[in-house]
Amino acid sequence: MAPRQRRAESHVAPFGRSRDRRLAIARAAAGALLALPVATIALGAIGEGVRYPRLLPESLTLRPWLRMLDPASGIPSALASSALVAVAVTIGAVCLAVPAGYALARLRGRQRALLVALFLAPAVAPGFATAFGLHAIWLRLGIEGGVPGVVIGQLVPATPYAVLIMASAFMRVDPAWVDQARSLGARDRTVALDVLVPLVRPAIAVAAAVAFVIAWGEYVITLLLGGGRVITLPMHVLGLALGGERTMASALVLLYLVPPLAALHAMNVLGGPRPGGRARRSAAGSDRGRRE
Amino acid sequence: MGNRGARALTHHHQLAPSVASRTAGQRTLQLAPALAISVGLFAAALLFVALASLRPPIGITSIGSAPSISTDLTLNAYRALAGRPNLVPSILISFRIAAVSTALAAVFGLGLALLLRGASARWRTALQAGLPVPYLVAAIAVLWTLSPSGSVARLLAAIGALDSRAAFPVIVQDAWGTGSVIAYTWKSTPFVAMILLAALDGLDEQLEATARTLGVGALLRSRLIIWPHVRPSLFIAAALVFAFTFGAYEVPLVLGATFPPALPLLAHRLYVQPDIALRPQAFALALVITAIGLGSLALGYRGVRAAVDRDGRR
Repeated sequence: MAPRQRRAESHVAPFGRSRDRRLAIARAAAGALLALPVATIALGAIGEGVRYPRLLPESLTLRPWLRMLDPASGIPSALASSALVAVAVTIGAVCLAVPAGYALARLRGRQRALLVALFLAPAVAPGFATAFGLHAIWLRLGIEGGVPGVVIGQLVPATPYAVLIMASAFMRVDPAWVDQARSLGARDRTVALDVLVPLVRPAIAVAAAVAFVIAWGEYVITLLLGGGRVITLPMHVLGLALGGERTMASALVLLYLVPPLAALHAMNVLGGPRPGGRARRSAAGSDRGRRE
Repeated sequence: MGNRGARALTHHHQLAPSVASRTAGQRTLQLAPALAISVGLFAAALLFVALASLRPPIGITSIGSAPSISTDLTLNAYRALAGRPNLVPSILISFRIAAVSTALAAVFGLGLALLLRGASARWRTALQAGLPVPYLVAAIAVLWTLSPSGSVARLLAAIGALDSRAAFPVIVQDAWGTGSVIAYTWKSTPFVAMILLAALDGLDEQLEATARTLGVGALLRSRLIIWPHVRPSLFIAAALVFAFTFGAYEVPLVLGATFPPALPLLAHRLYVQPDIALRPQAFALALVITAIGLGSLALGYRGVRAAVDRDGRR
């Protein structure tokens, strides 16, 4: 994804001054599009009585923040459930995606295109439709209404994203690395863990971040498969926001936003170009020497 | 390699399989778990939904029991669905929201990508900032910002540009779907721009430089060089946005009017009705929505194939 392209920046600068002006306009527009909703939420979270026609809140308050800490609000346990589900989905999706991405990257054109299309279907299909069917199957299997059922249900749309990210990373790994390691006597296990995984570590960070963000934002699958017993943060967010509890809802939205933004930040830190990464690539010889 | 073939001999009691077939088996093993969890469970879920939509709603066991083929299959649920008075308005609003959001995200995303091409890495990082924002939060932010008592209306009132709340246009929870379109466009534009920026990074700079040297103007350059290069990515990005927004649930839940409900909301309402006889209709509708979403994705793919073939690349 984007961090990988960083190296390619600033090659093209054909526009000169008019470009600077356009970037200034873009900055202003982007600022307004981000700042306005953020300010709206933030003001709502620290003040009471944000209502028309008052622009600013009537009084400042810590009430929503204190209430969030109170176990009786249900929010601490929802936060724990959200974290548990999202972390489990992240680990599961990455573990499934690393081998699958490797195999996908080594397949030929037509087969690969078919598999990519197959993987895209559950990722793009509406979550509620998948959940309708899984709900009935989970009832028969007796895993409806629990965290494991919710995690497996969320893996259905999350795994494909991780697989496609890993596949595109493995496509950029020169097979010569594997051959060199093998000719030095490395076993499959060593090749996988000591050669391939380190080469795609930035992509693993990206895949993990994307899986986490998807799982953290998932609402309707958890709602249906959790059977009302697995309560995650978005359910509280929605209930409070539509229930008119503006202050509380604003504060909760801010809390809800922290983990996915942190995941994005971690992805940019871990997924960025690493020192030594370039030297390794050139040492593996040209990218054209792909055998399989 | 020969060493691996010899090892394979001990595993198989037949003759040593060729290295090729062994790696094929290995790849199957590597792909199988991921395929089973995502594609397999998805297919199983859809199969159940399809069978349940074809079964007459009999008694309260219809949800917990296995789909039995022996019972009579019937298209009654589809007929009943087609006869619902609110189906057509729901179809219209869902198509309108998805189509308009996709078109706006494609146009803005393309503009943004061209604007940020060659800009510093910080711009690209900033572009990502909206990606991890859950759809639910985007919808709530639009609601609080653009409702008649939202921050924009209050800002206008504070500077004396708005006399009363009633004078503010209804753009959230409206019957046209404006609020949903705004939320989806806000979420999807950076996504489209990122895909297009990745495509633009792969564009050979020599082409443009040569064209410029030959005196080709900026407009013609973008038509002859940039447009054919980004078109396949734009098709794919637009198809992904359309397929996703058409079936998404949270945004119209927050920003849609009570009537007409977007199709996913209608399906969910039918599903949670106490009257279990309505459930086959919910399944039928879920299947139709999924088919439309996946169909539009397939069309996007075909469009890419066609575009690539026409340009004679790859």
